[in-house]
Amino acid sequence: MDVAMRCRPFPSSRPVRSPDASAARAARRADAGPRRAHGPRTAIGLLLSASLGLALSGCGASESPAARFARDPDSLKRGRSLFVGTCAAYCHGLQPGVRDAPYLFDCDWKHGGSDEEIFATIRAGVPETRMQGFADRMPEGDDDVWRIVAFIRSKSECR
Amino acid sequence: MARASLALFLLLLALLPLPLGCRREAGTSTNGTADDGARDASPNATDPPLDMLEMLDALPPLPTHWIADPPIATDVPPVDETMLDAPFADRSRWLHYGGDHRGHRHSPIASLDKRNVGRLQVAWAMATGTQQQFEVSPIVYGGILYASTSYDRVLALDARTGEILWRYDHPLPPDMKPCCGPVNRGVSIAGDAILLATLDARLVALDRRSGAILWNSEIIDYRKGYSATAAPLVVGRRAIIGVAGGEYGIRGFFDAYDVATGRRLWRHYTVPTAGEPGVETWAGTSYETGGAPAWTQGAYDAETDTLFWTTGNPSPDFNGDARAGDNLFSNALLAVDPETGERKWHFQFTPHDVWDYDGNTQIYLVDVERDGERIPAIAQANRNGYFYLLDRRDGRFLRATQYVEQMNWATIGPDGRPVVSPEVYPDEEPTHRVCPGNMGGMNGAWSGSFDPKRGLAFIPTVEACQLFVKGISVYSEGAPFMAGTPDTIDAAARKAYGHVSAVDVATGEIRWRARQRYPMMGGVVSTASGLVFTGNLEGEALALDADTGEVLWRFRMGGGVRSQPVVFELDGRPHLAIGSGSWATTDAFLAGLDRIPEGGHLFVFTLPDP
Repeated sequence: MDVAMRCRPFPSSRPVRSPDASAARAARRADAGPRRAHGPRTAIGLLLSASLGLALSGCGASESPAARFARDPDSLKRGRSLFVGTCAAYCHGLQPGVRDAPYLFDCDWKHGGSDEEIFATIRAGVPETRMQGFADRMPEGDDDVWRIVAFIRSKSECR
Repeated sequence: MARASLALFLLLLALLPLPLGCRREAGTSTNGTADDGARDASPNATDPPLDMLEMLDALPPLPTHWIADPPIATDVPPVDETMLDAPFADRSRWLHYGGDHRGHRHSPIASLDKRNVGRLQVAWAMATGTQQQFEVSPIVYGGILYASTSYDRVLALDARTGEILWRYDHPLPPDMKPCCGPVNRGVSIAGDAILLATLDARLVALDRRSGAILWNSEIIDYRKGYSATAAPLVVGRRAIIGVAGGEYGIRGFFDAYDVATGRRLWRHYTVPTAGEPGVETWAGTSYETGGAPAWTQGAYDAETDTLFWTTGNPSPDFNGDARAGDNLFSNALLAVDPETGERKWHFQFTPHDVWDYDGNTQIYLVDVERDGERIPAIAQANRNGYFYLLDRRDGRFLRATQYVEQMNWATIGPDGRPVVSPEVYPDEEPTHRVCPGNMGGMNGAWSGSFDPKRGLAFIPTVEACQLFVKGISVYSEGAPFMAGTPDTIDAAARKAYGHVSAVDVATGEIRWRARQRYPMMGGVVSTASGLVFTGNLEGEALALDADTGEVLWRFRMGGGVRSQPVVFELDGRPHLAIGSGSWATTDAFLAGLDRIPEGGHLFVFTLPDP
């Protein structure tokens, strides 16, 4: 998957975010790195937002791990197996059609469509729904979550 | 039309002088925040507009538990064991999901026959107000028809007029764990209690006369992946109910409860734990998430005082690599002592299942002649496509015959054990079309009937083969644990179809098939007068000739039929009750349908005045 394609905005991204996704974003921001005791706060804030912006757009040096996995066929294959085994089931279908849970390849995201947001949704789940957070349950931890994100991207219909 | 109505509704809302949200006053808000009141009192042009849902949310909630006051049907006594043992002694009644303890769903009524059935007409119809699969088998007693709907609503209706006399809406959590939609297949009756097993894994008793809650017992914490969708089976003072959750890696079980108090009397786990017999059929610790739910209704043999219950698939569904072995007691028939819940024997239909072939379709207690001897047997059209006959004294395998038209996953050996074709196992990139698909054959979500005089079982059947895609299984408590997914190629190609098949129980031969355009997902009731009632996904109620399968009557109700029809007589007149209301998700999955009318209706038909 080339970077230029992924720099396009996702067409039907919705402004509505679940409280959980906001919390996840806040947590990510907190995790973005230790704050330095010295140096102007505003500059750090700018830096943080700049790096967050880059991460969200998937461009630049701080590409998401999903982009890295997307270039590795074995990782993509594992991402597909994890998706088929854990996400598809009776929930997120591999083909469009009427299903009990959203179809994840049409780029119409309810809880954020950036790599990081998808990653956060898989880990944290969506409260008040049947979407359970998988947290640290994947066999190879976060790498497996990123592989799922990479697979979803690879099959995306709006690249 | 629906879109036009919605547009009109929105227009009317827009014309209202104030947003409906303004009616809510500070202090009475359901959210209890003073902010709402302050904002509402001084609408600000910069505030974002309330959306549709917020406006609806702002209306005061309507009560949903409607009590009958004064109470109804006080002229009939509590339902006792004698009535439950001989449910058709009074033909104005329908007392069990299975019609009787033997699961026949077969009525002795003769006031409706092949000559007059064509004159059936609507007596009344009733909107359930709920969507997503109306699977009910109603209970009828004392002139009242008790029907459960999706989302665990219970309606007590005047069986003559359809008037709602009481209503109960079970409060459900938003994170409940149903496998396949918010379904319920019926309530049960015992004493003065109407028993409802709920999607959040509780058993609730409601007073049949008022709808008031008598007791409300937790079966188990639903958050682990449990739900309950069946009608409990009432045997004596016990209500027996099993749980669903085979798609969540639960540990399956079924329980007996005291109908008077709601106290649990025993629990029968369908998956052994360390040290118990059968645990050796699970590799490693795979039994801990072994599934084998018990989500349908069993049967009871008064002659030998034996309870029969069936179990569903092992977890995870489509990848058995981590659970090498037969995976007892998944996909099995269990004979247990109703007093203690202890197992007498078992028979496993599909060992080490990786196709979701739950072994828990309707079972019929039947008697067959074999070599001049009367054999008490159990017949079942199993989800795996074979029609089984077992000796009900010891579970001995007698015979299995194919009842579906398309079958390629296995043959059945002389000992009853399947001989599986190597190419049908789920694969990362499957290319082999497997028949039947994961929904069967026949499915536990609907029930056939058995006519003892004709010796025929009437089986509503699915013909929809699939590719089985295998994936990596990740167990996380409360999340689906399926390790794969069926690729519904027949449905997608609109090649899925169905039929009602009459199976001769003594020989396994197919006497007739009534072919249907789409898979059959509705139940059956038959009558001694030679009628078979059912309904199809096209939304037609049907009456078939029990001897030929010929359609004698049809009526288009609107929504696809997913319910279990029942018949009864009131004031000497025959009545047929059948629910209409399907769900796009299952219909798309199984039949490739995507234009399904929403909503549920109960129709009751009768003959016009002579």
